[in-house]
Amino acid sequence: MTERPDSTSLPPDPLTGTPESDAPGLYVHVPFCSRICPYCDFAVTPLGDSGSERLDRYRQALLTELELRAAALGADTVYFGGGTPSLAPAGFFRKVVRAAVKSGLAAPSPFVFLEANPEDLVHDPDLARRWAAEEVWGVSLGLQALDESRLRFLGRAHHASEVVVAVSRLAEAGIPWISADLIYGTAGQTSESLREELVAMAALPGVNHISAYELSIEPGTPFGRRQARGETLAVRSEDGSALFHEVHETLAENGFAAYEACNFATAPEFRSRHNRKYWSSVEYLGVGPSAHSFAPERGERFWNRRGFEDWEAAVLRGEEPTVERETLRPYERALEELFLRLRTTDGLPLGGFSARYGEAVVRANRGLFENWRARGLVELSGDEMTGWLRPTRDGLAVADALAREMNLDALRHRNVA
Amino acid sequence: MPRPAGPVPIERVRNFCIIAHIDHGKSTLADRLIQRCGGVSEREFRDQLLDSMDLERERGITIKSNSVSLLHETNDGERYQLNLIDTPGHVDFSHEVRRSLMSCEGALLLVDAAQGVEAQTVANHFVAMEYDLEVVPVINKIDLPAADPERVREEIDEELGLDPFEAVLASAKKGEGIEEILDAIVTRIPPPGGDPADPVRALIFDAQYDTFRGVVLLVRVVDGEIRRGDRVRLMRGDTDHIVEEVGLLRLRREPVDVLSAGAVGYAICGIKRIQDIAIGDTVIDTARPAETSLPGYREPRPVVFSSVYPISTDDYGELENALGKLSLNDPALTYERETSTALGFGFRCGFLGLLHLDVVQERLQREHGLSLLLSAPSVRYRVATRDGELHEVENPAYYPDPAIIDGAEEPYIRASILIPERSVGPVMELLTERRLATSRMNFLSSRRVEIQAELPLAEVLFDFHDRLKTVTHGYGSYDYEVLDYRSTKLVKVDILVNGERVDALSQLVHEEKARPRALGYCERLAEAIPMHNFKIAIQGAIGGKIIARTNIRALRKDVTARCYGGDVTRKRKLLERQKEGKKRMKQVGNVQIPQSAFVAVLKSSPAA
Repeated sequence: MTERPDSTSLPPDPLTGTPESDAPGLYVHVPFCSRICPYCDFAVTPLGDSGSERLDRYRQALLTELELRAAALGADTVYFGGGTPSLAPAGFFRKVVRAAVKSGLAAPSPFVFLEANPEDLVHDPDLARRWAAEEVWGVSLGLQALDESRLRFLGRAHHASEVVVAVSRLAEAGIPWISADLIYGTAGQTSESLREELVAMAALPGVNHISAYELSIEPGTPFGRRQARGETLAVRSEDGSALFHEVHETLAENGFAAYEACNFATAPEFRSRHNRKYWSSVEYLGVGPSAHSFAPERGERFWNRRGFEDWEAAVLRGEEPTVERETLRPYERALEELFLRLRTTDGLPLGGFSARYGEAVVRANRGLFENWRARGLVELSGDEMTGWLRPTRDGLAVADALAREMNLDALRHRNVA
Repeated sequence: MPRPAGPVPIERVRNFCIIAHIDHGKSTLADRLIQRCGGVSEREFRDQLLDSMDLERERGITIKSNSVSLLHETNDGERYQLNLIDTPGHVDFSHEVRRSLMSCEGALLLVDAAQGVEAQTVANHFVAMEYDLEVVPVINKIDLPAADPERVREEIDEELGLDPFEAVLASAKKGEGIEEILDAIVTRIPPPGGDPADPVRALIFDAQYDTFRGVVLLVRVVDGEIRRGDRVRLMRGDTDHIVEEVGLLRLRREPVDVLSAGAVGYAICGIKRIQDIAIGDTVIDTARPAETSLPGYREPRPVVFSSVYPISTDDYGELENALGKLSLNDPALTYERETSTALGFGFRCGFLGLLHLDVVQERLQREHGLSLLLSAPSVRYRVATRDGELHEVENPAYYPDPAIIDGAEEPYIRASILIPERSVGPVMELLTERRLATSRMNFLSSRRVEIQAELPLAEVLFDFHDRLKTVTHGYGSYDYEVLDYRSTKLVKVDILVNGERVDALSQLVHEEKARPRALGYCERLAEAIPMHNFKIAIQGAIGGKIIARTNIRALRKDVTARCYGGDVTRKRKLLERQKEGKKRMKQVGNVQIPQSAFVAVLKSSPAA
């Protein structure tokens, strides 16, 4: 493995001890899967018969987009998400990361992450070692369940018995960061069965990060259509909230501390270095179909064309494949910052917030903060104008409601920060 | 178009009206008669001319009466003046029906050939008999596939006691039977009586407002003669008026020199405001005043009350303005200002009945573009307090402290309910549920029964009509008249949200109905208020006593599952919409209640 800044070399956040970096992130969307899971509403297409040819076209276009967007961004994380990045051919990650560094979009030796399906690791015993050789730092594994019947219900390609094999191969290859994804709240799931799965997941060798999401049924997906026909696919919402609390409790008992509503790590240095940028308004650039970007200096969000062919065509014409942009007004930006920060245990620094949006906003909500505190939804440390508002577990569970309750009227008609 | 060659002598005048159950084809028949008699040219003719308001046309009912003079030439060349006096077609307007009938000597009793005789047909027939009118039964809609004129003849015989063979078969829609109807009007309805030499007495059966001329009185001259230039007085007023113009009610007003005893027409007397006259009043001659007034005037008494609030508080001014305009032509509509903590500024309005309420609500919404919230309709109670005073209370806000209440009374009605015999059981059950006081059953024919039932008016205000239709499979109909006030056990039920009273939801109900009504409100409110991140208690209470309770559980989770770079924009937009929605909610204590919750609770009629 080549030289890369290790976790201890990052300056820890003075208040949280988390390895903080305000360097931007680079997201690479890989829009292919071998098959589409019935709950998925991401921009993905089945790879199909001519898979290697399509992957090749994709890589070409991706490298072109990196050239088109060349700029001194200096991202310290490069995250391959999807889709199924683990389908990518040998040498893909190294090649793309090098191109990103060359274009200035990524800093030298960034932290490289990818999302992977367990079956790919099972079918190819050398895959994990190859990724390690390509300087992949972290792998997020789409386990989704450890229960065989839930895996079948979710339309996953791997079997429960294969999970340990997949995880072990990552650990043996020396991948430092191994994250496991879980989807809970499928119909019929009980707190007891969820607890069993969580305990088993926490005990997997080398896993130091877990993401646990409640199943949400999106319109336009096979699950969406089945639900519209009256099928019950997910637990009732009140049971879902019981399961949410079960997830937090069980993972905490098993050494995984929540740092975001759906994310847990065994230690602060294993928090997701890339994803935390989304929650703390750090700049990021997304490349590949449908990828989103955020440019805080301009207060701008923009995103790419969603369809592969559409995106590819734009890139090959030599155009940036951006399809839409929006410039955030102070009100919108403050609202985003609120609901994103309140999802994290680090919470909201009131001093910083009032520096950006004015003291009036914070002052207008002092009573509300006190009310939340009294109800055990937040902890308030320091001064009520400059201290920190940190959601408790109950607070994380209702983070969206907290953001809705906050009074941002002072910003409503302001156009410039 | 035949033009009048001089006035038609009184013995060739016929004053008649058409009485019918709603939807039995009254307006269509009126149109055919007008067309046939050339009262209106093709160009001017609009379908259902008499129902000039859009709303009336749409609902198929006539709310404001319009009347018209028709000229009819018989086969032997005689010219007749047929004055058709329009009647409103619903139970809420029964007093107006009576006034119209008082102006006539005869009535066409219209019966739908498929529907047969209905409760309202019977009620109207009784009123016609009361005024000694010659009744000509007309079986209409004989073109319908479901028409069964023979059965209807039987019903006319057995239920109305009229000669079934005198019934005219017609299809107003197809223009069939119109000649026969005109013949029957001429031959069977007597000419008006009255002596032109007697002191003037004319019944004001309706009035219109003309922007240029002021109030136009529609009158039936009973005695004497009214001419232009006469000095007249309204019996209930104390001002003299000079008659500026009299005339006939053709499509446009057609001035004539004189309206003599027996005539139906209009009089313009320089009256500027419609509030200055009273429908049903008698016009008399100042110089030779008649001593007794004609029976006909009755103070319009609202019997059904509801609070009306604009959904948007900005619309309050417009609502006030609109109510003012409507009440100009609708003296029965009353309104007074009211404030609710939950709903802001609004009006407590009084109506003649539920249909009247409906019509006013629709006119406010349609003609004035207002979005409204109406509270559950209620009646006017009489409450006696210990100090010996009697209070009329139709607004829960003014209900006296129960500690000083001596007793209460509520209005009762006599409902006449016509149903198929096989439905007697379920209808009696429904009536018992509605606190039936007494009932009497008349077996009209082999298959049909009339139930005369006395019960509280409040009990028919909620979904009674719908329930009656349901339990009789669509065959039941009812009509009612208000009887008297009777002793009742009244309580005021409050609805509390986390301990705070929601004033707009307070109501006065009979003790027996308090618990189910409160529970119904609580449950509907619990469904309509979104979860908060704390528990919400919704309670029904009588004073300090809680009689019903539901809870809205605390929201324990309100955070989207995954939220990464690509999710932020969509998520923010959703939150923005939700925040906007919150702004439009009403705050009660610490609970946000969406307007839709009030609508859900107030609109639906409680089962209890």
